[in-house]
Amino acid sequence: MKPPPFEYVRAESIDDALATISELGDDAKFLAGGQSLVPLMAVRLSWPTHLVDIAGVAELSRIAVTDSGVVTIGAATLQRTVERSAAIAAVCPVLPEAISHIGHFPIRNRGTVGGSLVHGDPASELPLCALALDAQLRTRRADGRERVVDARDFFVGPLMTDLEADELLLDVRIPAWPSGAGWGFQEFSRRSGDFAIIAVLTMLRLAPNGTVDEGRIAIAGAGPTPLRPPEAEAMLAGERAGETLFVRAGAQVAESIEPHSDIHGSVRFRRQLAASLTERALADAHRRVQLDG
Amino acid sequence: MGDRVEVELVVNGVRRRATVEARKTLADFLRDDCRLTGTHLGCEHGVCGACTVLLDGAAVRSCLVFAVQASEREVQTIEGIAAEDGSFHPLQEAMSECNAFQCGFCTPGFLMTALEFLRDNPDPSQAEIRAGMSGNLCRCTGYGSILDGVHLAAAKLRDGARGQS
Ligand SMILES: Cc1cc2nc3c(=O)[nH]c(=O)nc-3n(C[C@H](O)[C@H](O)[C@H](O)COP(=O)(O)OP(=O)(O)OC[C@H]3O[C@@H](n4cnc5c(N)ncnc54)[C@H](O)[C@@H]3O)c2cc1C
Ligand code: FES
Ligand code: FES
Repeated sequence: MKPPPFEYVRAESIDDALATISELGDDAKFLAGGQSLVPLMAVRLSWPTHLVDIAGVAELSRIAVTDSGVVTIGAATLQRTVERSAAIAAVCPVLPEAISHIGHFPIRNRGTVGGSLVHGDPASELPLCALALDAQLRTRRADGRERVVDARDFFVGPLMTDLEADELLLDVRIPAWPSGAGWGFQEFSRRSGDFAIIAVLTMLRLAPNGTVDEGRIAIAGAGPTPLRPPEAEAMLAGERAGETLFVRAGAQVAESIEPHSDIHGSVRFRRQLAASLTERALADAHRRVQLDG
Repeated sequence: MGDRVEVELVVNGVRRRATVEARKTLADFLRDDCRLTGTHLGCEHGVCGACTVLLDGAAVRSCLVFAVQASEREVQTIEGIAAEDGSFHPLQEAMSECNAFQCGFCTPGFLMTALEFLRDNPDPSQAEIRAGMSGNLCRCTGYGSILDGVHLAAAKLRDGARGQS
């Protein structure tokens, strides 16, 4: 299975990449790490006429962490670079942890952050992180128009994102992790490195009396995009953190999702998995909470 | 621009230049144009790991990299890991001592993956080896002895490093 023929263009800069893609038209595609696009081409599900290689555009692979903990990651930054970034681990440890579950390290050595977000697989770790961390995605078109899209609005369906064919994802901005908040990440896959069947990312921030100030639950593999089940999240606020609450939240998550069924698991199995992974991820977040002051 | 492109890269220390189709993968470039057939192709879509090589020192699937993307860069393949005098790399020795291959098809990919894995983690636990090598498939299912081989190689490489210092 060989990829179909195409013409190759190496972009030297963001402007160059955008000018080239708008000139070439709708059947041209950006090529980043190629870890999703090349397999799709090899099995002839994708047949671009031109590939505009953005992997070498230095402006697209910068990491910045501000003093207040806001993280900005260029779209062409390698997943492996983020996984190993001490600066990111210091302010947002859940991100490298989640990324370490993407495929195998030789895949992460090539795969980029932007490529995974734009590919938009509903079982993927990076879209899950973007959604859970309230990330914002910055994009640009050839005419210079820029947009900032909330992760909530970016993922619109399985392998579908809110991006035009000639629109380049520039970077993803992750707001500072709320002070004292704990996190949990739980994933179940059939084998280390396989795509998640279900993955859950949680965040908990507590009031001094042990009740939940803010709780987030994001789940991948349970629908057409990663999800933040609103009922389950709402249920956490103001309640006393602990096993009873986490079990109730897990049950609520299981009820609110519409997972699919395939050879790897039935709908019922996925719902049960979502419930137990939510419970565990909330317990992990609770364990990691630091009370302020 | 064009569907044929110039590539120039260094493979196992040797500079290679060619004009190839843009769609030619690094794996096919190594096998067809460089006649280095130790890099094997199993699935050709990133799943089996048989085609793993080092690109600027990082393990990658050569079936998911176009040769043109590797231009100006350095590639190391299984043919390039033994010493100049032909004596085996400690990884090759360890694999052989552990009988870590049957048909040998998956072996080059496992070794190239293990090279980066052990460089990053010279003293891995059994569980770390299992997770680190999980991206490579062996159709003969020789996993037990392959993981033993990586474990033994780690010890050999550590001894070697001590010997040098
Ligand atoms: C064996 C295997 C296992 C895997 N397992 C997992 C897994 O467990 N979890 C997981 O999340 N992923 C997994 N992946 C996919 C992998 O993470 C990819 O790295 C990722 O999805 C795509 O990133 P990329 O940089 O390789 O993008 P590419 O494949 O180069 O591009 C993907 C898509 O995004 C577009 N694109 C890329 N960058 C931009 C940009 N800046 N702006 C606009 N469009 C852009 C491309 O045109 C293309 O349509 C796996 C892949 C393989 C081969
Ligand atoms: S041939 Fe490249 S991963 Fe299978
Ligand atoms: S030894 Fe035959 S495929 Fe692994």
